Amino acid sequence: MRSMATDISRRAALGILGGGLLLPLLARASQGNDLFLNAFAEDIDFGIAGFDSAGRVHFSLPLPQRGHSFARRADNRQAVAFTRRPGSCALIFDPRNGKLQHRIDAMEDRSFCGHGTYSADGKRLFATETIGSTGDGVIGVYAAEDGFRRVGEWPTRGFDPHEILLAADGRHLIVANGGILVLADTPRLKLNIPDMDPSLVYIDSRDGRLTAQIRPPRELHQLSLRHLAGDRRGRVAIAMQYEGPKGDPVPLVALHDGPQAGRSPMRFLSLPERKWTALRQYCGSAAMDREGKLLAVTSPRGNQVLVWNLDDERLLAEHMIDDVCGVAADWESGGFMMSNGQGHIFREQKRELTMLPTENAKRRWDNHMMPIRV
Amino acid sequence: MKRLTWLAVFAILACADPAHAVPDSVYAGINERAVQQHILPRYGQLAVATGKLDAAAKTFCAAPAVDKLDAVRKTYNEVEDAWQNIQHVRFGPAANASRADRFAFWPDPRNIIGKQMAALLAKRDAAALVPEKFAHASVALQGLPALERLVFTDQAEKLTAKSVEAVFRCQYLQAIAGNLAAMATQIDHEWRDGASAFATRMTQPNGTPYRDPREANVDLFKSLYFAVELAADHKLARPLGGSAQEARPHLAESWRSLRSLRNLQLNLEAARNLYLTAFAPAMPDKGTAEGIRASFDEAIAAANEITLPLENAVQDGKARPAVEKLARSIVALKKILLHLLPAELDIPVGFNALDGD
Repeated sequence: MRSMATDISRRAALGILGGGLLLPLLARASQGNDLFLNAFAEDIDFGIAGFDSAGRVHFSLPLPQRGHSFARRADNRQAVAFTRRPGSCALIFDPRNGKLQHRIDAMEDRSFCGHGTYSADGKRLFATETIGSTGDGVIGVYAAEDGFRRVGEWPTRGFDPHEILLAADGRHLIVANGGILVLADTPRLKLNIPDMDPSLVYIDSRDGRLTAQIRPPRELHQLSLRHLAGDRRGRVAIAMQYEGPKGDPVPLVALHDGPQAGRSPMRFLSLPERKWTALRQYCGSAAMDREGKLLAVTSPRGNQVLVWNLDDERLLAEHMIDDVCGVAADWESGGFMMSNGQGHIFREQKRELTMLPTENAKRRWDNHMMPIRV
Repeated sequence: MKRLTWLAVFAILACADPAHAVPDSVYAGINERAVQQHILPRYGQLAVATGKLDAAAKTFCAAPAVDKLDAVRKTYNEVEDAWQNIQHVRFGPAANASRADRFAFWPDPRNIIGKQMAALLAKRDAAALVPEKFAHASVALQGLPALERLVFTDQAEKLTAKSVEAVFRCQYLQAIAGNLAAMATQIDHEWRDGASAFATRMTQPNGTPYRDPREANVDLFKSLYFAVELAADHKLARPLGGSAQEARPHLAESWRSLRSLRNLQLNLEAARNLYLTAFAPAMPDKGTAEGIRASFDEAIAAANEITLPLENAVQDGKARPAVEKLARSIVALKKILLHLLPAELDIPVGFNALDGD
């Protein structure tokens, strides 16, 4: 029954994508400014959209299931939209206008985890994936110049790999292993909460070899490492979600000094306990500003955005936004763009927050936002 | 059938008005009713039932005999009933020290329970069964599914053989029963007693872990939804498979004690009780409230129409359509709950916040 339903939805999706609707649904003249990609849900439909810093939607593209995050090629001429875990496909498109270029279907017994990244030269695409029968994490390796053929896979050394980034050295891949066992047979059910084993790993993007694996301290093993952002000093910020008892006052954002720091421990940002508690044990997304100096972390359960200056590790701002999750650097202003599940887009400049005019309040913005230089 | 159900959903959706502000007193009322009339009595009952199981295990093991096994099985069933009545409320005391996972580790698609039990029974290390130690053993060894394996199917005979293994099995049985009783007592105590009782923190939020009644209400909605989601997507979908030939009866929750259908019935009734007791009286639109109730009634009626044990019904050409009907009605109920209830009561179950990613 399940496989039949999947076949039908896949076929339907192929029909939509391949049969004349290749053009974006809502085309608009390009403003020559930056765009921001964000997945959305609208009634029972899913898609991705590109909007500008005024919140005007330039294009939309349908997705066969709920979307999640994106990979951007360095030249900003190609991007990939990943479906949410367990993701069945990824769409390759021109992020300037939403024109679909290609589609990757998940390999047998593999599903996408929602995140991916290109190699520095744009020739390879790396996607976090889960083996459905065992729960083990892998990086799927795709040849971007050869029809996105899957040319290999490398273990991530953990369950539930989530966000993946290319390190500042252009060589290492950084993967956040969430550490939660989920099997295809029991979709989205977490099977090992009492003995989770999350980790941050650095993997050589040339051959998949493990450079270092870093775990949180033993007493914090129920912190699922999920989202990443890299700063200008080559450090990695890790935003986490806690699976332990409600009310445990746990820290949720840590720094690691990058692949060259090897197995040195991650270090949690310091924050008064009540501020951690206010995040409700849950960070949804993380982004660095254009300088690689300011870190923004969103918490859709705490309805908050925290902004740190990573040079001195001080908290600069706290914004209250209901169900906020998507966040991206606003290269133009030096601040951030944010989106929420109630259909709103926000612009943060010099720590001042503005809600942009809402074009379509039925369009609920999903977890992640990615900036594109047009 | 499916189409009709969906037409009904859209008809209700069209009438719902999500844009009203709901005063805090409404959430406080839901929370109060849920805690006092649903959660406390049910966790109280779990403590009572596990106490009886603990006593029954001791009595049985004092003089193990085949004809006395039924007394243990009876108390096991009472504990399983009590657990199925409240297993959806997993936040707060049940989450502390991984108690819910230790109480009933399920599902177990990798058969960790089987593997670890085999190792434990082969090693026969009595020191591992000392309460303080056993409470920190693998969660797979501690719970109701492990106990079920000891007292049902042909495994049960090994409890009464005059052998070293039988003695150890009985010690293990008592360790599980004692540990379940201790956990249920701790959960009940943490909900009820003292200045930091979770009942107080939920009904009179002071910041930890809830800042206001509306935030506390989210956990109750999630529990309600979880009961239905677990039933639809796992307890029923796993054994059901795509056809009678593809059915997998051994993936049913309690196939050894042949009570998987009863578990589902109790789960649905528990969810309906939580809904009717706590949420329904607060619903501004009576039509929506009735629509949700009707959907619960339909699912429960469908469950009651299944005449064979679930394990057999999924493989039986004649009985299977009733199981498929139940599957459809629980999936419909799940969608109706998620689409209608948070909108109607303005419960902040965020699009981004509901399900971690």
